[in-house]
Amino acid sequence: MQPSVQHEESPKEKRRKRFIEQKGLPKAVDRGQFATTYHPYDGHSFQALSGLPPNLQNFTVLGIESSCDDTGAAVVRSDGTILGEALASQSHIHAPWGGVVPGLAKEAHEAEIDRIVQEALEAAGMTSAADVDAIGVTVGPGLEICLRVGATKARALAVEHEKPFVGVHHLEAHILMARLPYDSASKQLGFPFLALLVSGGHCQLLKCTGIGNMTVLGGTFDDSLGEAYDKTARLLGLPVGGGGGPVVERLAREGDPTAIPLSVPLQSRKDLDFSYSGLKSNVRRVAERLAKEGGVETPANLPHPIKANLAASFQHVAIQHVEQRLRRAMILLEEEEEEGIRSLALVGGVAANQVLRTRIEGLCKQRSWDLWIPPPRLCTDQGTMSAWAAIERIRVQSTDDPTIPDVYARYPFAQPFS
Amino acid sequence: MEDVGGILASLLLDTERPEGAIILLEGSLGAGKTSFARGFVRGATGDWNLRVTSPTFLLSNTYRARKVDENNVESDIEIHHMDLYRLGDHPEDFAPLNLDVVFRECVSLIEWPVRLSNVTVPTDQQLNVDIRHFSSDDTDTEDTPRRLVLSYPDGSSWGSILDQIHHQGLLDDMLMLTSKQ
Repeated sequence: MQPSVQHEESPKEKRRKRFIEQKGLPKAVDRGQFATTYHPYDGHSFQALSGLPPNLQNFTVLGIESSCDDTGAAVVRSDGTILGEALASQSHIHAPWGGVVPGLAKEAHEAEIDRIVQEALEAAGMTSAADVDAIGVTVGPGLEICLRVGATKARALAVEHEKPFVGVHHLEAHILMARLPYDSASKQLGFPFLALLVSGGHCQLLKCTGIGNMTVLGGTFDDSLGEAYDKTARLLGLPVGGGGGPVVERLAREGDPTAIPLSVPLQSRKDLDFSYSGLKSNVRRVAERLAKEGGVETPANLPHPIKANLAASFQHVAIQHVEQRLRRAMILLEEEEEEGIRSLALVGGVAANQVLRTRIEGLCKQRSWDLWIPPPRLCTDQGTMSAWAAIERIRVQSTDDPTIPDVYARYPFAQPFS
Repeated sequence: MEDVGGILASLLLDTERPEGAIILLEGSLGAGKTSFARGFVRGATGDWNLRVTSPTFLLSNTYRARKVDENNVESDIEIHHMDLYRLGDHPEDFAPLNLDVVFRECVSLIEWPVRLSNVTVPTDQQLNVDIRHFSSDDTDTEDTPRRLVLSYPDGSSWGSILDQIHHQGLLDDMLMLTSKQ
């Protein structure tokens, strides 16, 4: 909860707190809120539970991703070349704006998965999964039912064709996209590095020291950055079919980012956490006041220039919040002699935002850090993420057992190993 | 709103059968639905530092709490915190949420329940929590006091939970109305 103006607690508020202290504390059982953590590395070694491709210098992976809204598959070679891709949402008619999420239904996922996998294989010049060397699929975190669709398919293929299998971690897969080599000549982002993951569902700073070895340094208390964009889009009555972020970004180009004063969240907190729910409420209140003053019914009816100013001012402050947290993280890591981290990976759907990229580029230049950002179309959920993450796991000789059918709605990283 | 959620969770987990409880959270943007949910999940799990973030994009976040039955047997109970904001009217959009099973076997916290108009929601353990801003001049900042309008079916366990709350005077300053459906 974002700390607001401190106010004197009323007797009732104190009574509630006392009740909770008396009832709540005894319940705290350290059983680990999370039964399962992601830990392919146990502190000593990785294990290739389903074997490895015969040639670790050159192999292909079929990757499948179905953790939430969309279903995707891709065939990727170990040198980073994307041989074939397919994504379900591309073949859906864009939903009328106002909320329908394409490809979300379980039936839709199930009906699509075979077709999408086949499309990706055929685009890679292959006829079946027998032609790839390994299979990877997102097993968590995400919506359990959606995860199961992709995981069941991938496991069945791995067993049928006797291929090494990797259960991919969705967030690790986003982060590792920053290591996808774009051609044979280019450098690759090496460990250790700092990652900023910003999307609709996630908003985190992570220290990445190796495959399966990532630590969350800070995250949002409430709303993510992508969500803040989406809600601003809806507030202003903008069409959100293609995502609220891009439409707010487009509108913001026409507006003045300093026109509307908004407070930067968590300014007095000396940590690496984020909060966007206060900003979201702030934008709404200002927009509603402007609507009232302008004699229109809702912010959606505001004149275009005012909407543009709101979009621009919101974006400016939202990004300032990122800059502040990020700068603090960079300083902390600069002061850590041992690891000497000076590389930042910017990943997740909001990494496609041009203004964010430019501002972070500036910050990195200022502090002499390297910045690694995947191409915009690889920042959102799709099969290539799973394929590449599987490649990275295989490279460190880590594969999973395809006969274990589990998927993990919650799948936190294990405590880091030094 | 966090404390209100915490109190309701503590009392619910003390009942014989907390599974099947469905809490529908209503209120405008910024009213405190997620804050309520945060307090509820923290109260249920006993972990007061637990991150409980908005499920708007992920659609549903799942948490595990421990409950103890009358024979002192411990078991797990799942809490599903859902946000239907992004969903449309098509019943098939709800399939991934596995609502039939979740409604029956878990505790559900649902933001934007207005999207459920085409879905069957069991009513016997339902609690409606409507969070309102309360101010004389229509302002609604973070610091504007909140008021609650609660409703639940006659004969459900929410009745005895609300009785305990009244008895201890825990929400007198916030409850505008409680009604039995």
